Amino acid sequence: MINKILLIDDDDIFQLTASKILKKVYPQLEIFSAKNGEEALNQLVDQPTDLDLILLDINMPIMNGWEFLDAYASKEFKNEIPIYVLSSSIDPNDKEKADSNPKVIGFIEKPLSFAKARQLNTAS
Amino acid sequence: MKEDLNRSLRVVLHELVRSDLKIFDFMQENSSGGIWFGISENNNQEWFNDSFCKSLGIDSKTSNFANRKNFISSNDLQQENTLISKAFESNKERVNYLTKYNHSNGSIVLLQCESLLIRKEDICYILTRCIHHNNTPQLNEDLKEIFNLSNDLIAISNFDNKFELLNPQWETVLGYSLDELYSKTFLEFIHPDDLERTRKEAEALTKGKALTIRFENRYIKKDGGHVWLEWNSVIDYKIKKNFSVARDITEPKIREFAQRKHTTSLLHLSREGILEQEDIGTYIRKILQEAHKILGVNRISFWKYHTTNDAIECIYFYDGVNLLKTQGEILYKEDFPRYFNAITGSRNLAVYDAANDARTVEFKESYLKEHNIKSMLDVRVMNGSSQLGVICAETTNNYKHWSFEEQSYISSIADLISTTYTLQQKNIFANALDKSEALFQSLVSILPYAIYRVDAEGKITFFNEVYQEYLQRDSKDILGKTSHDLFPKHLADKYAKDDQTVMESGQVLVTIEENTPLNSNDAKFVEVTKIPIYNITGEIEGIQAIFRDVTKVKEDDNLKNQLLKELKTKNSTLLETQDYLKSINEFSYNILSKNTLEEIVWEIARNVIQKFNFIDCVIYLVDDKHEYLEQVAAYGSKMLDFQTIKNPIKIPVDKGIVGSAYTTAKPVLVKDTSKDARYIVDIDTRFSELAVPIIVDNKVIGVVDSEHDERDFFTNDHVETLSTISRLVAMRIDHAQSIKKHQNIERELRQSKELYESILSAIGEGLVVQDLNDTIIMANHSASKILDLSPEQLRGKDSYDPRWRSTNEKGVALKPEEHPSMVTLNTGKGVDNFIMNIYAGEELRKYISINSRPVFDHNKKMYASVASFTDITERVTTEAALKASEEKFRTLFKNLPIGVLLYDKDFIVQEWNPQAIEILDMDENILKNYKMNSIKWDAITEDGKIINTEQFPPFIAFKHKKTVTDFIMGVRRNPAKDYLWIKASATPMFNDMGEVIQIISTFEDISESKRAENEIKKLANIAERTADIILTCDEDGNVTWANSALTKVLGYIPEEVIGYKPGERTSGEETDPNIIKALHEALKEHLMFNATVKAVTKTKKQCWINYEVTPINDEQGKFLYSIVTKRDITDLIEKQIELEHVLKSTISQNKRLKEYSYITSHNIRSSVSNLLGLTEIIMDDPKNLEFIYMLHETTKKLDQTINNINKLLHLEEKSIKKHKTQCNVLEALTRLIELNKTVIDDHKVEMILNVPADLNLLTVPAYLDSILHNLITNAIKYGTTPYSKKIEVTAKHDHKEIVIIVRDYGLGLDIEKYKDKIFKLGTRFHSNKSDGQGLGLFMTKRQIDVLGGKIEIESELGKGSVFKVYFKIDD
Repeated sequence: MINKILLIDDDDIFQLTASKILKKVYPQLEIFSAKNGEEALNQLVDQPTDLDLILLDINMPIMNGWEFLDAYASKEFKNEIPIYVLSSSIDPNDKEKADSNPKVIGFIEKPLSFAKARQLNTAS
Repeated sequence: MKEDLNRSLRVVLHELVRSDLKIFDFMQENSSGGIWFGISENNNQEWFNDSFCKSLGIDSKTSNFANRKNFISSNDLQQENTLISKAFESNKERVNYLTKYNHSNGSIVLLQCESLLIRKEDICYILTRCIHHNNTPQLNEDLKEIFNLSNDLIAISNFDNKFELLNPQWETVLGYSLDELYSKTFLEFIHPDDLERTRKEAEALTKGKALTIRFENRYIKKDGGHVWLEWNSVIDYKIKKNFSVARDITEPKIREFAQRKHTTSLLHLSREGILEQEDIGTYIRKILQEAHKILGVNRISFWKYHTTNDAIECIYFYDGVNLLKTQGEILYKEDFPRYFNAITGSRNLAVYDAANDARTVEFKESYLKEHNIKSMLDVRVMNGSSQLGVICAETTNNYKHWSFEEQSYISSIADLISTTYTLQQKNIFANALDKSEALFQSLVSILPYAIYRVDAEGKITFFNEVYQEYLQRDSKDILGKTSHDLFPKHLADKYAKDDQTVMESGQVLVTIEENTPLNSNDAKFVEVTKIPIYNITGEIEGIQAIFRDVTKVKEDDNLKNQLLKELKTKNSTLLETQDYLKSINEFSYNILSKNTLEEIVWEIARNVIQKFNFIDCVIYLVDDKHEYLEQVAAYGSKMLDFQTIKNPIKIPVDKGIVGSAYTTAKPVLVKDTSKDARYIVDIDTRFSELAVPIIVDNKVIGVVDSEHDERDFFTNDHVETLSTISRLVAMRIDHAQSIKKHQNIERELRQSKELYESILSAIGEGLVVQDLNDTIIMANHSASKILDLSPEQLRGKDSYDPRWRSTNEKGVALKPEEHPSMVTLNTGKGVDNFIMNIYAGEELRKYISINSRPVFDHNKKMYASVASFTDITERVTTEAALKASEEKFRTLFKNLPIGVLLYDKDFIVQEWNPQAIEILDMDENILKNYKMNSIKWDAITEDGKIINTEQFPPFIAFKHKKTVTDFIMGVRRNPAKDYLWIKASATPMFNDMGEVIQIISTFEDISESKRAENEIKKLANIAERTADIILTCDEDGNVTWANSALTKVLGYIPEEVIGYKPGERTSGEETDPNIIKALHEALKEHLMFNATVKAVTKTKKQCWINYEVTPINDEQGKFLYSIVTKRDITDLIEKQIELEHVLKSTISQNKRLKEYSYITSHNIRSSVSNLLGLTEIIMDDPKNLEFIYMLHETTKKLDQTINNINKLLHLEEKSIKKHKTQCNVLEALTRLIELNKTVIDDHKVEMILNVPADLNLLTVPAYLDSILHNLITNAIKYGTTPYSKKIEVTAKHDHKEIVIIVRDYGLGLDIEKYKDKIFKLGTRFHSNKSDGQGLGLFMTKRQIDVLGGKIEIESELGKGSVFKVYFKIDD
């Protein structure tokens, strides 16, 4: 059961559309959002909530997705939250890189459709 | 007269009493008794006291008392006198006797008398005290007390041999009660052995044969023991009673026995034969056994002094059961100083309680405790003045008081040992002298040294055969001569002076000097060592010289130096020897002063008197001429003055009883001298005489003589005893004489030894003496030096000891019987110059040359071999090395790749090698037999000039006396043949006069290289015509030739590079030094090489040169030269570089394009995915109209992305270069601000322009616009905050650049964080502005790059950013 989700993406439009789609699929879902890795990290440290899932974009200013993953690993949080990487990248290296990261449980190619939203899971 | 006399005797007595307390005591003890005082054998002068007179019933005051003689029978008086004079003669102090006096009332008074004998200034005084005895058993009351208190045994007995009255002392002495004694006859108490004698004495008395008797006998005590009693009896016929006084003489009797026992033991020990036949060890053991028994001790041992005198070591020990020869305990002086001091201080130590006696207390915890020793009697055994050892007698069962007799006994034993020791030493020395002389003779004959001795006057006293041979004279012309007789004056003067120096300084002189004898024609040189000779008193009495002829080696300076060096070493050894000899000298001198014959004979004479109760004893020794027997020692009553004889008696050897004993060599016993015509009256007539000859070495040297005033006094026992004593005397005399003789022998031995030791140490040859078992018994310094072992280490080894690992010259191990010394010992013949090889150390191998000779004693019996040897290692190795080097030279000479000819000064070939024949292609016979200049040669120089023989190197070398090197010439003997090209050298060899005696000529066939050189010359012509540079290099890699292409390509003329290494002159800053280095190495190692390197021409133009190296060898593979080809490939390289550049830019463009494609596709996909997301929402719920706006915005963004792609593609096109135009910067800026006016106004930005109006820039206008647009819009977007709206744009001309600066005061950037990313594609810094795509700064950078400019950024968080763009102003 997915109750709380953190959506990290600098694209306002994607934030909007993704939230709309996720709310539709998981009506009870509480969505937290962050504009980049740094903001997300600050949220996780300052207001720890029992998140079920993190959706992470790669191309972001300030701190991109990869940098976030490194920073997140180094923080050693008590409860590990499953992370999905979301990207519109067509660079095959990006998918490979995401799959090889132990924190990441899935790679979702943008756009996020209802179908894709339904398939979200908390375990790999 | 009587009164005077009496008074004068009183004065004497008074003085005696005052001077001697003993006399006073004597008188005190009997103060109430009678006393008389007189002179021995003079009964006319006597003094009496009142008590004495009283006891005889005389009033001393009355004048009728005149003399004692009036009151005593003449018989009694005579007896008294005899008794007293005997006592005097036997040195007794007191005499006890009973005698009778006639009382004035007619009765007989019995007086018990005790006389004290006093000797004073040649006069014997008698002080007698008397106790009065009543003539009846009923004693007067006043006498009874004396009777009871007397220490003597007083008895009155009847003629039935029964006691009638005894004093209580009997009970004390014999242990019986008086009743027991009265109950039997006294004969029953007498010791059975004495019974018969006593009975006879008693009968003599009772039967009237004598009035008084004196005798000794033994009484049995109640406890079974016995006492010795000395009886004095007097008889009274009237009442038929014996009055007897007996004294207990047990103690003196026991001492007498002991003395007798000791004397017998000593006589036994000194019995003829023992001393000389047995070895000292056996003898000492025998003595210890005997002394153990005689002294009744538990342990007895002999300790030997270490030669250093600081320790004694037990070597023999006897405990009554085991007789051991032990390597036993050692006691050190430093551990037991008190004992050592005590034993050194007195002859013997008699210690009662060893553990508590100061002298031996040091042993308490160790030695005494260990052996449970109670008493000790130690005596030192001397040898002359040195200490030989200590005899130590010890008790373990009880404490023992050592009697005087025991002490003198053990001292005598010590004397016996030292006598024996001296005798043996004498034999050893005599033996050693014999052997040493024989050895010396052999040495002197075996050594190649001349030896002679001169006395203080310089006269020759000794010389050997070598010296005689050297002088070429008869021996009678040498002995007693001085150097002035033998040598020219100038030399003799010098020798005399040198001798004088040695005599005065005592220093050894070692020198090399001229020594040409008078009769010699040639000058001779010798190496001479002069050593002082000392006499017994340590004075120098002559010189001994050892020398050898060094005339032959004298001329050679090296040898001379070596000799001098050797001599120095010898010198120091000699000095050491000399010190040693000096100390021996002093030592022997000390010995001489001890143990005189006089001391000995006096001692003997005294002993004879004391021990045998003889009246006198005289010892005569025969004089040197054997004419008289002279009295040397005498002892007896008439000879009171000890150790001096006034007017010694001389008896002709054929006179008297003494003479008879001398001539017959047998003892003579005369029982009654009055019946013997031979008797000679001495002072008094004596009635019997005994004379015993003293025999030493079968010769009578004297007589021991004793006389007695009783007829028939001497018994056969006396003869036996005195004979033994005379043997003892003989031995002692022999001992004393032998010490003297021994000193002479020692002196001779020492001199002989000194001579031979100094010779031994002076010579360089090693010398060893080996006994018949081949064991080394002596070795000199040189031997120990050569063999690397000290003389002590050498001693005891044999010549085939495995340590030498000896082999013969050829390295074959030697069998024992092959050693020279063994050969000599086996055959009795000498061995000469035997060379063998030995190990002198673990590693050190030496060659030695050995001479060996047998040594014979006086009986011509071989007893040793002497071997002299020299270390010839150097000689052998030098010879071997020389041989090897000669061999090497021969081989070299034969195998040299060059021809060698050795000419003499007449140009006849003396030596040649096979190569010489081969190169010159000449018959050996022609070469051998013709002068070089007589052979016709056709010869030319390199230049083709014809030369004649006189110009050939050997002749030039001979003529100019200098070496000619590397002269190249062509020679042939047959004009039909080609020239043989040779490189010839010649060296002259000079003799001492600087004349050329030989010429060594060497030559090398260089025809081959000559051909190769010609070949090069041909090739050079071709090379000259090629475009490539061609160089030749020699074997070291130096340029030897270059073609003209060098000048064309690099601007250098060949002369400028010849002698340099290729590339050396053309290396510039950009030349890779490693390649040049590799090139030079290849040239040096004659390898092929190929490389390209940047170079500079003479005009400093850069160019690329390709080097190619090819080494050229001749047919035999011998290197000739290298050819280096240098090709200018600058054009080729430059084209290549351009190509590489194009390739590089293409690659980076491709890479960039790929990045573009990803980023743009991402951007496109982002927009497209948003579009899809939006449309999905709209489709899901068409009422979501607000998303339509978003759809529009997203579409716009997509459009912008696509535009940007176009721009980028445009940017990568090369063609833009061509569209540069002059642009006014200010105009461009103004236009841009105008275009963005809305934005500027909206953001209320304060734009400040600081740009000169005339600032123009040749550039692509579109790019300039784009650059400025990006920078300014970025500044507006990111560089403004609600608090800071200022943007400054500055442009200026700075040197050859135009700088445009855009500065804002906004948020700024973290430069450190973004420094690598700022101008990268897709980098965005700000998340609050969503329109950034990460393209702006990337594009700007690319555009600036394309225009050939650069961009820099300075920024600080919170303070703003500065972008600086530089454009180069093209010419």
